[in-house]
Amino acid sequence: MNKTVLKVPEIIKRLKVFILAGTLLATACSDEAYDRHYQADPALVAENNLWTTIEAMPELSRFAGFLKNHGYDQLLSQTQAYTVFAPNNDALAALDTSNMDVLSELIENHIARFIRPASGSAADPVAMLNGKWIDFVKQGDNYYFGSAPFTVPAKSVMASNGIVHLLDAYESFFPNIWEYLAKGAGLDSIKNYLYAFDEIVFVPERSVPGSIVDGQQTYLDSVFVNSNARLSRLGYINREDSSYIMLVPNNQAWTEAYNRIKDYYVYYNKNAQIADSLQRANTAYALVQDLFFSNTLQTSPQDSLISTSSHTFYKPQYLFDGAEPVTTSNGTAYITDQLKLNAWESWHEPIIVEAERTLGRENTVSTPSVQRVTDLSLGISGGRYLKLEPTTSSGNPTVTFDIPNTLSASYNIYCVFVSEKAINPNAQGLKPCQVYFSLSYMDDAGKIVTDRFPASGKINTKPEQIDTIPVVSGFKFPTTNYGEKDANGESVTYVTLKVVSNVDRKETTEYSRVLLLDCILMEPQKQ
Amino acid sequence: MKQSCLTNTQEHVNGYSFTRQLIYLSLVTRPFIVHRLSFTVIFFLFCFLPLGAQESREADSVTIKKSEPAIPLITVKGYIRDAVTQSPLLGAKVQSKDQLYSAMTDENGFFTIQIPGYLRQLCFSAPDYSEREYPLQSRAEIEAALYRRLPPLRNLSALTADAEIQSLLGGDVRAITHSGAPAIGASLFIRGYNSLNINSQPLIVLDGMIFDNQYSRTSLHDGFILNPLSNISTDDIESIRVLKDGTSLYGAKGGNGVLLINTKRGKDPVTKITLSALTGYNERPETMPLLDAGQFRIYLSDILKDYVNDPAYLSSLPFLNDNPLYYDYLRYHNNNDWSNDVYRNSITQSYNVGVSGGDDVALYHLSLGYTNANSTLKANDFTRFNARFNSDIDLSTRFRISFDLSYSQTDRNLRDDGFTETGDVITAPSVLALIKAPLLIPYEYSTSGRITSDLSDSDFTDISNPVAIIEKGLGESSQNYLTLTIHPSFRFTDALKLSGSFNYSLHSLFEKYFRPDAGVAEIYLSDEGGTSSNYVKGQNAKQISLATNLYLNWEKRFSIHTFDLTGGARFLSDSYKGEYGSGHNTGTDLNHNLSGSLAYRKTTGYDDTWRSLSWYANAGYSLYDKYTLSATVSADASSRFGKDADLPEIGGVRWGIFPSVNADWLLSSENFMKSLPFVDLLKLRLSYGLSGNDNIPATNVLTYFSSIRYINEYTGKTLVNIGNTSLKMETVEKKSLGMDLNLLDNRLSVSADVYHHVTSDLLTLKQFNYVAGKDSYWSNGGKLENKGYEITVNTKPLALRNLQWELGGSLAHYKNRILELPDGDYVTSIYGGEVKTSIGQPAGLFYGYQTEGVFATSRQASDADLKILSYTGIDYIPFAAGDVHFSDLHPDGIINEKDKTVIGDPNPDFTGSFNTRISYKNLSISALFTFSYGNDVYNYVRSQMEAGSGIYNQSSALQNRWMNEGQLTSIPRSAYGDPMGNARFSDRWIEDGSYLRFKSLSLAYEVPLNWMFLSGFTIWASANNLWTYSKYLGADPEFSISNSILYQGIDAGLLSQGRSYFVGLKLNL
Repeated sequence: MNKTVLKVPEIIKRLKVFILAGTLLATACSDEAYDRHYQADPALVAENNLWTTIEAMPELSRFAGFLKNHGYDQLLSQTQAYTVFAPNNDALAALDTSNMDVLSELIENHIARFIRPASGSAADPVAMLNGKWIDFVKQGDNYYFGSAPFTVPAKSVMASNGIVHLLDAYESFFPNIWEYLAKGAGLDSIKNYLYAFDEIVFVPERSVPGSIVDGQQTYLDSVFVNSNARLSRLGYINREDSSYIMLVPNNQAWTEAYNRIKDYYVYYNKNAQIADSLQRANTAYALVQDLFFSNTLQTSPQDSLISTSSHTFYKPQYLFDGAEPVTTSNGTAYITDQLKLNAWESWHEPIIVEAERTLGRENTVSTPSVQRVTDLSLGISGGRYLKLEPTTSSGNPTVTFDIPNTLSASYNIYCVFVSEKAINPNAQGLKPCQVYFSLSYMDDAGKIVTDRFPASGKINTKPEQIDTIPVVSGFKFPTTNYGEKDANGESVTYVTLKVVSNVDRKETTEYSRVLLLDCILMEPQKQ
Repeated sequence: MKQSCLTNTQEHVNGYSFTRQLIYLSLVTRPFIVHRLSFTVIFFLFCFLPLGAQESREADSVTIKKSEPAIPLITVKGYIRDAVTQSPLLGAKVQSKDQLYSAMTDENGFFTIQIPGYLRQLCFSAPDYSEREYPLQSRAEIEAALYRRLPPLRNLSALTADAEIQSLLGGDVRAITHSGAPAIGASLFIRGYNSLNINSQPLIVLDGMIFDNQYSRTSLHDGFILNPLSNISTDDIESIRVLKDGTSLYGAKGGNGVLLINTKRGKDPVTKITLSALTGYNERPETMPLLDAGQFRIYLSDILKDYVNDPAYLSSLPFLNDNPLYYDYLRYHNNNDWSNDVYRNSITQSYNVGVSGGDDVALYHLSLGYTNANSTLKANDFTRFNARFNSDIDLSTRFRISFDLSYSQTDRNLRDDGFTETGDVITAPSVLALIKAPLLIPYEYSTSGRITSDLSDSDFTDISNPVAIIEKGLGESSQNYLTLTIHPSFRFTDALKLSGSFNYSLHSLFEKYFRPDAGVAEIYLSDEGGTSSNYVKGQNAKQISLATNLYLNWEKRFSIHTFDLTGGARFLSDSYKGEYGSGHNTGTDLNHNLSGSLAYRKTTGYDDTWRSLSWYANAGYSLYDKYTLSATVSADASSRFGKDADLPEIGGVRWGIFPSVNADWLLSSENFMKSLPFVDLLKLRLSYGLSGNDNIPATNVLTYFSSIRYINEYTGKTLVNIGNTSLKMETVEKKSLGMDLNLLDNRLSVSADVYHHVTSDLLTLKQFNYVAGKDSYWSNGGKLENKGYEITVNTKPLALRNLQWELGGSLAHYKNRILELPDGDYVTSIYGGEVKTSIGQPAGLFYGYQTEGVFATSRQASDADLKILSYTGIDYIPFAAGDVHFSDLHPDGIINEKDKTVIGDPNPDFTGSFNTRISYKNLSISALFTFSYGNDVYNYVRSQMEAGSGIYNQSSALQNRWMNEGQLTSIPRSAYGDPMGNARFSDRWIEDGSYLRFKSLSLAYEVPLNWMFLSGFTIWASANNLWTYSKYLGADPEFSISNSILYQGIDAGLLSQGRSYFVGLKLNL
């Protein structure tokens, strides 16, 4: 018994050792699997961030210097994911940065958000920090960043916050069309025109509202965005996610075109400066409105091109003859020293005034009603026409139409009469109308002038068919009312065309006083 | 298994093998004055006792002891000694098993006893010594040694019975603690899964009465599982036993096995007062390592590449704006560990006073307890007040009545816990702490850059602020449990006794949930077409149970023959009424109330009643006490059975018949065992029986309508259920063979069982034809089996005068297999995964894609040449470097449904526990280990936290995600929206859930005092969950989100169990 007692401490001691050892061993095994899973694998997870990784690579010292000089050591040290396509020292050895915006054209042209491994046969284009999209593809056994090849064998280094791909060359900066306008020689005119619309706009809905002080909303975080009203209307040639063809007039072309177009926009205003201002603004807009062609909208560019102002140019090659194409990051700019846009395909547009529209229409001695036709093949524009019936047995109806947006240019003016026979083939006893027209407009002295067409006599319509009656051919308005609006934003015009039924009491058996009018058509006279 | 030969039990369960009797309290004596005082207190507290019962009756002893007439007696002499010191034991008791014959040892340890010649064993006992059953083997002189008994092994810090069961019945009951929430309970499985689709939890019999643990009821709070068993204080529990065989006695309710829980009763007229107190410190649990703020920002700023193309836009995002002058810079530039805002170290305290005593007429036991346990998850706690009064009154020598009354109230503060399956807005603080951006903090900054107390709203990704939910949200779950039981018994003759039990219990539930506006994004309610700023819901429920059990018992010994016949009837009637209401937009977070002004209100209610009647009979026969044969049959009728069920019809109702037969052979009492004197006990057991599972949803045999509010405007009635009038219970056929073996003066005991269960008529949901207007109905069909074995070994390697060391362990194995399914194999979608139910396979199999790692290089990917069909259904997308290499099991180069296979099995190969105890003088140390081996886990948490497909914060393993050509890793590339399905349900999320857990280490010291008023003083300390060995990558390998079989092994991230430390004391007055 005593012998046993003496052994007890030893037994306990041995057991303790055994238990402890077993516990530690088991704990170690248990924790090892756990830690292996949850802890960073040194083979995968880098300790250094992008900046310290680049800084530690002697072959990237030149690029690192650029980064440091522009504060990108800070950016690349942050806990956000980036991919750096880093040109090595040899690649940058011959780089002349004297005429270069190093930040946007070199640094931001080689850094992208997100981690983009060189993996697989091809990758999507990569959005760089300067907004450029640069192809990142594999050709043969090597990867290319744009046209810059990766160091062979491909060398990519993981950092804690991204990846560095080493390049044997740097990727040239491709300006987009917008940027090119600022860089290209002899493009000041168009550049100045478009850049003048740049503004910074406050966006309240994206801002963070604060308290209201003195009845005014304040904002904790005011969000402003760059905006350009002209580009928002004609096309975002300053963005990288769209692609355009742009016809870019150089200064010579701009001047020539401007002088050619400005006669279409002769305004009268008591204040001559206002008239000149309106002429300049609208002339310039007429000049640029058909220079932008979206690459994505063209179904058959060889046959026709549709500008972003929705004007169609058929067989458009003539527009580009002699122009110098410049490839940009978001399309092609065609630098031309002569704009060959035809007025009637662009700014000098036909004008149609629908008779059935009430606004800008006055009638006398008559009751107007709008008639609808179901057979659209009849060619009645808008499928509706105006029926004007005399209110008295002796009255001759008249109707006057406002004609907006006439340019100071020549038009062939027509009035389209509708035939009841065309609408109802069984109609019997149809009689023609007998009419004349009065055209009022403003002369270059600001005076309203009215001309009668025909100067004497009357015009008889054809009751059996829809009849487009020429009112006057090649009539040139001395002034334009293009784009003029009143204080309420309504179009203002001094140009009116009156249609006057002129059937004598004795002629009522032969002529009808009921007017069926489809529209007034102002067709540009080609010059 | 071994049953104490000296313990009278209240239940009359002859012929059934109890696995183990766990808890015996050795109460000590104390002066008479305390006895009178305490009795007075009891009288005023509970005025239910028949007045004068203890005064007016001059009670005779209720112990029925009678000498057998004219039986020739033989004399047996013997010597009993201390097994360690070899010194003789004075006053050791020598008894026959039925206690009719007894003797005491003298000062030299000798005894002489006259016993009938047919007795085959004697029982020895002595104070502080372990009892022992001794085979006579026709010997006239015997010698036996007794070992000192160690204090009972129990979990001193357990708050509920579930925790006790898990700690101490490791080999008999597979108890899986639901979570680390205090008193949360456990999923309990006895001998595998005996059901597939309905309740598979054991029947609980509390003090002889069936206890409804409301397994089918659900809480309003995600991650919380209602557990009425938590109403019972562990201080009140005398014993917990497992009834595995012979469950036929409980007929259609015993299919999943039976847990018999007995509460403490007065045993001795001497008044005894026990005071106990404990306090505990619970450490914050382990949580999944997450990406820190820097790592998360890198991850976030990378994964957005599939979402945003414009670098300028990205730079403008506030969380990526690194300009310190930016007005909101501080908000987005923190490195916050959200777990600090959600978890805490917490305190547990529990106090209990127990008084027992009485006189010759009445014995009583009274206990009062208070427990408060704060969860390690903030805003979660558990409080219980419990009172129990058990009394036994001998009204005459023949008439005894027991009267039990108990009341308890449990109140919990809760918040949702764990990931939900529904994909609703996440409001569980524990989940939010995982997924929420570490860039943020829960409070607002002032304009001067100081952190204020203003709670932040939901963040830029609409993820809620968990602290707001903790502070402004509300979650309550309160239960009241009142039970009143009367057990009268009348003994007509010595052999014939009529007993009854009448029980009334009331179980009420009140729950409330409030999701605040503060810190939570406004939620669009697609069904209602509106928005929700806050949300309140509540439910009240009340269950009233009436139970009667009346039985007649006749027990008679005729020389070598013993007969034991019992017949009776049990009637249960339950009523469960409840109502539920919810609504949105209370107007303010200060208003948590349901009212008519709420938007998008929903109400529902339940009014379920069910009844069951069981006739049962048991016949036992024993020859020489060596050969025991018993047969039981019960006939059960239940309101849950359909009227057309394929069951015998008697008296207009359908009856399930459940027979069983048990046979025991006590080999150690055979004379031929003389040659093996080291064998103290060897018993073989054989059983066969049927039992059932009638947990059919209460109203599923009925076709009925229920009121609804149509488009939230008009009231009407709609068809809710099309009843299946053929429904009946599942039937479990149980066969088992067991052995109990005690060797070397009981220094080594082994108990082993093998069993085979077959459950037939499985309750299964079947689909209606679409014209029915309802989706599904319950039907019987299918069959499953469980085969297995259980081994329990206890040894005493060291037994010295002052030092004893005991080792024990148990091991259980089951093999579950589905034998038949009415409609063949099927797959159930659970938590984004799939669980396959397949003939010939075990239940709960995980069914998904097999993986072979991650493509490190483009070459590997192109060599594998695998692709998926794009969402357009036309073109295919090839897998690339960084994608997961899924096994193309259906070799067509396309990864799709055809490639799925079984990827995991949540069923363990082995479960169990082992313990060791060392006692040195008054000091004892015990350690308990639990284990599970071979079970797979679907780690749903990791599938969310390592998907790398969204803007949730991720586990720190995402640092190792594939990012560059050639990287060898197991974590694929991250990609917003996971276009290649790299995070699909695959073996990436299936893990080995095996574990070995150092469950508890306890140290108890019995202070040697000899004060007049203090007869015992024990101080103790314990530590739980000290260490866990597991390869599992989740926070805790032990969890159970549901009692449902198909949900086993799915880790949805409930609160994990952390370390806890307790100190306590126990005073015996």
